[in-house]
Amino acid sequence: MAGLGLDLGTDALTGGTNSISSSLSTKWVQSLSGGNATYLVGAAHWASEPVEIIALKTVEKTSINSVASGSAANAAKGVTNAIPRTKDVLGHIFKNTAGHVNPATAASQSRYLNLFEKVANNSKNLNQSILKPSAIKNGVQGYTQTFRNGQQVRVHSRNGRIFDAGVNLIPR
Amino acid sequence: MTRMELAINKDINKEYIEAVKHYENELNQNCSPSIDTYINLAFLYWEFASDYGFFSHHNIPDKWGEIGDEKYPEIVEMGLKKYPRSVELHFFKKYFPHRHFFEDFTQEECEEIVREYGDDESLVPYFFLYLFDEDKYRDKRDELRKQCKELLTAKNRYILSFN
Repeated sequence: MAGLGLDLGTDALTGGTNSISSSLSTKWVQSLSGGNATYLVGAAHWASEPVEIIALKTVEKTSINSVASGSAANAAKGVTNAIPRTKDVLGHIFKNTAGHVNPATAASQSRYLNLFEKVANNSKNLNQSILKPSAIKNGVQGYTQTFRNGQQVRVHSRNGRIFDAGVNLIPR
Repeated sequence: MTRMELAINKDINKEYIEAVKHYENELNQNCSPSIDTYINLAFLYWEFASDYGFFSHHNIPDKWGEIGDEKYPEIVEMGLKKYPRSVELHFFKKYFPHRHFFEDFTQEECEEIVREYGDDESLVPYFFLYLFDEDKYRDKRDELRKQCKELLTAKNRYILSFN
């Protein structure tokens, strides 16, 4: 399946078009450092890959004042959700079962990890309705983002540590 | 067909709500339920409550997610009262909240459970230990996978889903 046009939502970064072709478009902030920001332009190739990177661009910091609002809000609060790169956590995220992904290569795994972290660092994606009461009581946060292809990325974190994530084929 | 056989049949056929009902019947009507009754039932309740991918994929109604949320710890405790030396129940007592809330559960803690209760009755903890040390636990984990393939309950499918 290709060309499903994930929009990872950082339009403010460039102010320009993010259309790579009529059906493929996305862009993704990779790093902010010094006076510049590097971002990636990629195309979605689901279900086997979240994003195929096809270009790298650098823009001046002054042009990126408006990073995605959710990420900015989280950053302002000093909260960053990150995936511990431990065997335990990665082994539970990458599995061969419904609601999970199981990429074959380290590069593809890495792209998924970046995607999951991005979803979980946009406060607009906070969705506690995917959690049951005991999880909420124990401080778990749920995040979901549904893409145009109908696939839903979901992430679970606690105290800034992402411990589960996956992709649902049939969002509820 | 016994109540337990019915429950396992439903479990294997992925009729998970029906399976839960039959496991519950078995618990309520058998004065000495097998350890698998507790384990399989607790496992399904935990899946309903904690695994959004499973919950969503199998269209589990919301109310069952909430029932599962309340009941899986109770069923584990009930099982431990009946089978206080069960390595698998002790393992799941730590593993379930680890995966549901990211409570701590380390390799060392898991190894301690296996040391304390032995692995004669169940190899289940080895799917978890294998994540930490593939070389050390490969043989036990492979044997566990072989056992799981013989009876594809939700629990066994879960174990087989790991790489």
